[in-house]
Amino acid sequence: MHILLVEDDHDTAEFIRKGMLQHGHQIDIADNGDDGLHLALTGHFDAMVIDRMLPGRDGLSIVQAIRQLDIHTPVLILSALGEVDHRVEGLQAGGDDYLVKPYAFSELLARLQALLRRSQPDQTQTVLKVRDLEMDLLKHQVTRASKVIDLLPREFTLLEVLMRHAEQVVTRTMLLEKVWDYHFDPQTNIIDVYISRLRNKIDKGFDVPLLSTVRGAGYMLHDPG
Amino acid sequence: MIRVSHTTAFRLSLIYALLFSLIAAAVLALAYQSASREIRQQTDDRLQLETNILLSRYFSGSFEDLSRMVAHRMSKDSSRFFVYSLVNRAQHDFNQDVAPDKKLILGQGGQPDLKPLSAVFATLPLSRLGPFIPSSHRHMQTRVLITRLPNDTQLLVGSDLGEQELLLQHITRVLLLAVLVIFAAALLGGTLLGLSSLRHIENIRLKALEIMQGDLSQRMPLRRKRRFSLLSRDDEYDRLSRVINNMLERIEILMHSTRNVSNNLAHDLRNPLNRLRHRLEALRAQLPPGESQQEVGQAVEDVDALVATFNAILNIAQIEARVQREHWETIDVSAMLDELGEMYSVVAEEAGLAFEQDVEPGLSLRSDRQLLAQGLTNLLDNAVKYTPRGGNIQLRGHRSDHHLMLTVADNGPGIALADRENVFEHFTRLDSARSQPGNGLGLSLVQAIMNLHQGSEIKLLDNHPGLIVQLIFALSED
Repeated sequence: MHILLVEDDHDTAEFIRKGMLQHGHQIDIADNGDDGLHLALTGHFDAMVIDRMLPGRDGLSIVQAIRQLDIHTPVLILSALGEVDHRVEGLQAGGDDYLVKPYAFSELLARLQALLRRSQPDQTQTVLKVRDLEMDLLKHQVTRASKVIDLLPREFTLLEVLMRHAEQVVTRTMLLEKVWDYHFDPQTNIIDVYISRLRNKIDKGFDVPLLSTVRGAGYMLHDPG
Repeated sequence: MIRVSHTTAFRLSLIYALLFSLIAAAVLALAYQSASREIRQQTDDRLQLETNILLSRYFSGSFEDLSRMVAHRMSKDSSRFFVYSLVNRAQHDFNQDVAPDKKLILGQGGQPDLKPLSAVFATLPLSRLGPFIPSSHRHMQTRVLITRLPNDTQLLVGSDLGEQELLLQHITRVLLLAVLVIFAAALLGGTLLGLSSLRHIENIRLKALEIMQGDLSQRMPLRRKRRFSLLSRDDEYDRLSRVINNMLERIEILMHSTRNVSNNLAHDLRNPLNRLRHRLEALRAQLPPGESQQEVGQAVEDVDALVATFNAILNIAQIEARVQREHWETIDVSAMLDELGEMYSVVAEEAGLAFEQDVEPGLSLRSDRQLLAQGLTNLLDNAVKYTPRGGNIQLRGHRSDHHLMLTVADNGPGIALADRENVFEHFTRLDSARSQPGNGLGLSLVQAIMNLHQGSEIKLLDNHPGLIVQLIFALSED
């Protein structure tokens, strides 16, 4: 994918550039708000990563400006301000996701990929499928190899998120946000506990495990082919 | 709205009015007594004068002269004021009928042709004197003066008290009315004066409530504007308002600088931490698998732990500095508790703990969803962390008339009575908790969140053994 990064911290921008290139993505960088807005309006990007506090024009006003011009490119706002209120401000300005510094590169990458997937119009499908694992959203039923699997309500939602983002890494904080709408980190490893139960239900007794842990990043539903 | 009868102004006015009316009543009662005494005295004087006139006739002439004069007077029109009777004691002795209240000797001094005669005053209905009184109004109370003449005849001169009674009744009515008017005027005046002061206090109270709702830019009203009023000068209320306003200004500045400091701190620390984390991540990616890579991985985790503590402190500071409640909404607390219950029953099962949940349906509260959930997960995290395998954890939610009570109970080691105050302070970690990961900020955060809710309270109780944490929220009526 082709990404626009607007970030005034030179070192941070450099790390992100290297990381993106390593993962095979293209990246353009602006180190101030005005250049950032200019690039956002003139270039074609799959996603934008915009720091909130910038010299010149600040990040939120860039987002507002491009949204007013009907540009719907997914935007992820980076910020050193973590309070819930700040997050709400960021989303109200037109951001699609909000990531608080410091963050792991894998978190940034996972979220960008999720944003891209979200911008594709596959939200309307009623049956999700990964190999022989099937989720019927209308019947609210999950089967693997035609065998019905009983899930708790939250386990169902968790699996739905993973299936919608199949073949993508989904991080713990993304799951907390998407499944529970919690924007804070409980001290207990709730996600790990849920994932291990889910794994027991969908992978136990089957030859091919689908739910894998991506070390240092998160989880992924993956069809090994 | 002010309920007048509940105000101090009204109660004080009532006491004042009662006292004032009582004094007025006493003064007026004295006036009444003296008036009534005066009126009675006048009647007696008139009777005595009339009797003297008749007696002087008797002494200067004869009994027959007196008899004629009495008969003449009785026939005359003037007799409607006096009644007369001249009766021989052999025929009827008036002394049998009357209870005299005043005795006197007539004919003393003055004219030498008068001889002293004993006479008595009495008050009685004329009917008592039988057929010897020719009066038409025999049932009225009448004041009589009975004089015994030397020939054993009794001269009775009476005066109807009806008019006098009417006058006194009238005076009584006027005086009672006066007391009532005084009472009403005192009460009304006092209350109105009191309420006008009270309105100002009420204004201050309402403003204070608004400010507590989070609008720190509000100021107490001053009433100097009303130029031509007696109450318009720089009075004690204005001075009080000004002191409060100065206080508010300082609080606002402090709040502002706290927010600024924490925002700047966040910005200035998170950016370098971000770089540090990225550098370490990049380094780890370059290193071959082995001890060095593990060390760098450990360093990344240390950075994350550092960030977690930093975030927690910042979070508490920002919650404590927060006054705006614009993101608050009515939260379905029952649903939130059910959700947390499901979440933590899974976690508890994994940790070998029993989990019980007792949540009343239909609980709701105005709050910030994220903060409330964060506070509750902190308590549940603690319960899971400190309760040994085989223990149990309970999550309860109930409401009473005016309160919502959310409870997390465990049967872990609990918190000793002496430590219960301290655990809310930042970075407090009890000895029993040192072996567990944590930063000692969990309960501080809960406390900070609770402080945002007006009238809320957090209670730590003994579960014999274990800890019960109760979050009690006041449910406002509006």
